[in-house]
Amino acid sequence: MAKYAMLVDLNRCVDCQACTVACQAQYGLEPDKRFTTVRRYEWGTYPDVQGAFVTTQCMHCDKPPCAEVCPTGASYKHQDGAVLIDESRCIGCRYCLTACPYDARVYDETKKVARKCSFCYAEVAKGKAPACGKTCMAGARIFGDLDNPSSDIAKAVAGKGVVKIAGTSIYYAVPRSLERSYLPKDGEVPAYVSAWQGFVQPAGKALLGGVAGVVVLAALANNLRSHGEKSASGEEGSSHD
Amino acid sequence: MPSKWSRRTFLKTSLATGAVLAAGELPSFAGWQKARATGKDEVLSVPSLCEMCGVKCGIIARVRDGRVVKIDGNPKHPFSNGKLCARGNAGMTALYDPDRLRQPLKRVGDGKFEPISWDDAMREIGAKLKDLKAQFGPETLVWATHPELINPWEKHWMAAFGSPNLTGHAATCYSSRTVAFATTYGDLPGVDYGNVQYYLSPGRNLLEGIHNGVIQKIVAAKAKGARLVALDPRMSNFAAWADEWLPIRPGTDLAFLLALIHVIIAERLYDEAFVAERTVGFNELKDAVRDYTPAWASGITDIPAETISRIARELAAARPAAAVDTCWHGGFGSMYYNSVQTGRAAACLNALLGNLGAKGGLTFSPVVKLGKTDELMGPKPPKIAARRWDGAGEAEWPLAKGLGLVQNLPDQILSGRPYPIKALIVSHFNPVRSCPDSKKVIDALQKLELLVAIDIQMSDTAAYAHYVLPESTYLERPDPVQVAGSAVALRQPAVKPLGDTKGEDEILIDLARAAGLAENFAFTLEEYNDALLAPLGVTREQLLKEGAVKVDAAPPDYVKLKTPSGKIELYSEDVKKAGGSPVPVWVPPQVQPGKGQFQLLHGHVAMHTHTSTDNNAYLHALMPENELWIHADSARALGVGDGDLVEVESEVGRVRLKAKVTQAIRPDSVFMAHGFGGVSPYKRLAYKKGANLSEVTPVRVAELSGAAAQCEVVVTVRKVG
Amino acid sequence: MTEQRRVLRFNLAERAAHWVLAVSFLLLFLTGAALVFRSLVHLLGPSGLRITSRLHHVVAYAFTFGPVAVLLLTTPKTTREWLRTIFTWTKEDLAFLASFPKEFFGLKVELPSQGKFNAGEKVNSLLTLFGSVLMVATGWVMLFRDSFPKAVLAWAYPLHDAGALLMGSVILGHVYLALLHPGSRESINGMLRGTVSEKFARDHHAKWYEEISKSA
Repeated sequence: MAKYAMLVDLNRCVDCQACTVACQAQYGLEPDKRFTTVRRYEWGTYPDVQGAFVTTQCMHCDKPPCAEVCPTGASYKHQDGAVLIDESRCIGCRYCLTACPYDARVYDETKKVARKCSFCYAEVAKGKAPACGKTCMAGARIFGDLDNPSSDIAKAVAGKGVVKIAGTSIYYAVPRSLERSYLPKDGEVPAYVSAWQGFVQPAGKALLGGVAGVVVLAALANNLRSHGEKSASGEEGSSHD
Repeated sequence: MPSKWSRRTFLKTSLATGAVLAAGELPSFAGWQKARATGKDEVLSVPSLCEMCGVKCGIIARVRDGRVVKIDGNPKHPFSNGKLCARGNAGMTALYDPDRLRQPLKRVGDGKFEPISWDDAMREIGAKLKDLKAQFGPETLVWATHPELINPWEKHWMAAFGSPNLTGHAATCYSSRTVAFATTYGDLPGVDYGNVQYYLSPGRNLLEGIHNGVIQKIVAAKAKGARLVALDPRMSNFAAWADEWLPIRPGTDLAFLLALIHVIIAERLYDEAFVAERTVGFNELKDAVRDYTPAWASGITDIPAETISRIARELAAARPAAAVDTCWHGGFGSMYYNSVQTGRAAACLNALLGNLGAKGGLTFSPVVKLGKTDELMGPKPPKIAARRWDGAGEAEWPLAKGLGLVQNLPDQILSGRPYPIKALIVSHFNPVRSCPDSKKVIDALQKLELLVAIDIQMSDTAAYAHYVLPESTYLERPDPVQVAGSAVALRQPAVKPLGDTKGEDEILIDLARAAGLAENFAFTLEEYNDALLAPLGVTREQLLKEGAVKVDAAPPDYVKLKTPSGKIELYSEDVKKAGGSPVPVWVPPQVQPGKGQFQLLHGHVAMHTHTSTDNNAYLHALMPENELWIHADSARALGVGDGDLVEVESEVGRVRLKAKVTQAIRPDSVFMAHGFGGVSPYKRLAYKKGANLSEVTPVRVAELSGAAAQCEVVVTVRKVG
Repeated sequence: MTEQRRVLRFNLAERAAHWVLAVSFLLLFLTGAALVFRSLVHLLGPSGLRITSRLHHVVAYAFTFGPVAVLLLTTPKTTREWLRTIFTWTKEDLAFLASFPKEFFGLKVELPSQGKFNAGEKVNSLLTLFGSVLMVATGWVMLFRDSFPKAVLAWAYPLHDAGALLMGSVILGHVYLALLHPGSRESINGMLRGTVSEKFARDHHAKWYEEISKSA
């Protein structure tokens, strides 16, 4: 068992978009569908302007809301930490696309399933690096098993200026000038998901079950009553009611 | 397309073209996706060389069922070290671009093409060439190209034909830089980016004018604590990523560098021993910069004097692991009239830092001695009597030897002076969008009696050709050996050509036969490569297996240089003979924006290469069009909001594109990325997306190098949407 | 024996609208069930689920447009009456509701006289009306997901789910009363044939029986 995580060193990232395309090519994605992106931010007033580049991707949340809303269990959190999609079980309902607080999922129009960054799980299982990190000219992406103290990732997350996106498997090494607000927000389960899966589902099912129970009771009660009346009056035949 | 095309013509053309392009079995993107998903598991790994830009990194193409499914960097190649940029990763969508050329085409009317067989095309082109040669002399043919690995064959072909007019793109790219460093150092040095401790870039944008290997090294240097300073009127990605962005007035980097030289000399911060032993002309330089104080430079550059002094001291303190970039296009390659002097100032400044051959300083490439191919290539063609069409290397432009003045070609074609140019062959080059004054280029192309385009796609230039010869993409063809640092590398096809296309090696051989030059092309590419590799102890088979192999390369000579004096020439007699100041002196930019005007700047973006990737499905999706960067205050004064459509007008034309309102650019400047505003309707994704920079860029000629000085443009901007 | 006289309670349009609503609701509930009750997922498998999803979307058209079209286009007066009635509440209505639980479980209780729709039926109508509006609104947001802001789409899910479970519960009670409950099951005739017996009308909807007798 492992604890997979990725650290993106934003001091190194050069906003070249190679990771974006390498990943698209690896998974045969449509040109407008991406598992990872890079964006340039700038702030300040001329001539004191600064900038930085920030990558985004699936955060492989500790408590993934996508898995919570998935009706088929196609989306799930692997014990290794990666949040994966079993595409053979996905029915393309896209509940997960809405539930993701990071808009990290895409709907593949050809395969008619939801897809996202899988930490290149199939490649990693063969001992290879994820496609994004493999191609990165700047060596900005470090991936590995946090539970292995000699791994690059374990050493990297202990470095200076490292921000963990709480509740996720993603870390950033951040330039001193880059404010936290430019990075992805901490992991969260959206309110509507909690309302849906945490309240509506159990309460609604309880209501349904409750009403069903009441109806059965009423049916029995009415049956007993009519039986009782019949035996008491000794009448034969049906009663007109 | 400009005026000649009516809407009706376009529609008829697009239907005809649709038929032309849709015939045959070129896989669509969807088809490639499908094949990719359903193919067998076995994957072939084919080492080769990328050609999504001019760097040509080593790649490994992964092939499944005869289809390229992924492209990775080749860990053995020194430029890629196993990594690739976005363009390299998007090689498949170039290979499987549904708009690619798939058979030779002959123009049969305005914008109308019909398929023609290779044999017929060659026969007709050969006959026409012979005919024009007989009428006007072989010099009536110009061959314009962005030199690729096949360039030695093109040189040979033109020599055999008898024309002196093989012309590269250098004048629109790096001529001024090359002249500056060649006259100072005898050769073109690079920078030991991996070990710099202080790096000053006068306008070069390492993060968007990408060289894969350089990026890897500068990132490593930054991680080790190097200080990076960017001089740029715009906060490019490099400027944003660097430690300091100095928003310098366009075209005044020369003043900045001269002031640095002034401070470093005045405060005796230079390497005195190095200067004494390894340079000539120090005293002349010292005299020349006497008045170039930081205060003086501040008034010109808009950079505070204290900053200039500080940078000079910081730079010098880090020597010799301190370098001023030697640049490429960006900086002083071909941007301003004064670019040669700017390059000379950079060259001299590097010399004062004593960094030639030092760790973190300037470097020369190791010397790889390839084998000789003269014997193989047939009888030596007779010496050419005719003068070059552009005078490069001759009396008027002695320093432009080997560089050319391609931007003057349209004028020469239109005027017929010094002599008529009736034929143009264009290979891997697109002057309609990559040379200045797009409309003039088109007018000139239409005046030619023979225009042949060799390309993988129907570029804007090919769209005006009489014959379009489709080249196989780099994934479908072999090429001559590449020297990469101290390694040699080889390109080989990853898949068979998808259409009826050929490598340029075959095209040149066929063209030679057709033009009566068969005896000069009686060899094959394999024989040629074997000859090149012979002395190196590496076989073609080895290279086909590894992709790149290190060879014995002689270390460069840093002491005896290829200059007249054998030393670094701070004072250059060659520059003086060419009519310029022999030591770097202040020369103002040619233009300056007045009130209500802007200087139009340009540059690259990380996900595109010139005009060749705008139709690539993956890259197009990342950036389908360019935008006009304009300062927020300037935009407000014009009533322009972010995303509004604006019209940019210069003395030669006007274009429209969306505005990007930003703080990250000087208020007196605007910027648009090169490579958009597609003119060819055959590239359906790219057609008319964004603005064609060339349409608003006037033809300029810089002193000493003949470079195209493409930032000497003043424009007005107005809101139109 | 004299034949019982019968009284028209629901015209053809009302009945058609009811059954379109009822059948489509049932299909929608069943086809939507698998997305709510995870145990059904294994039963259907991914391809089965894609089919039930598609079916759900198709039947949604019937549920959305059928009843509304029938009611408004063919029997607008009666529809207006119905709407007026269910939003008009009297003291008798409230008294009926207070006593109803006893009657529901078979205990003898005196129920105040009611109109065409007794208070329980009014509650059912209101819940069905508002519930249907909610299901249609949230359902079509999900169907045209790209046309709505993410926040609207997001909340459509729990609201649609809640509406389904609520309406399902209501329907359970409604079906019991309509088909099985001794005190009310004769009313099914009203929804099938359109008529109920005079006795039923007098006993259960006295106020309404008075009105229609007067106008007859």
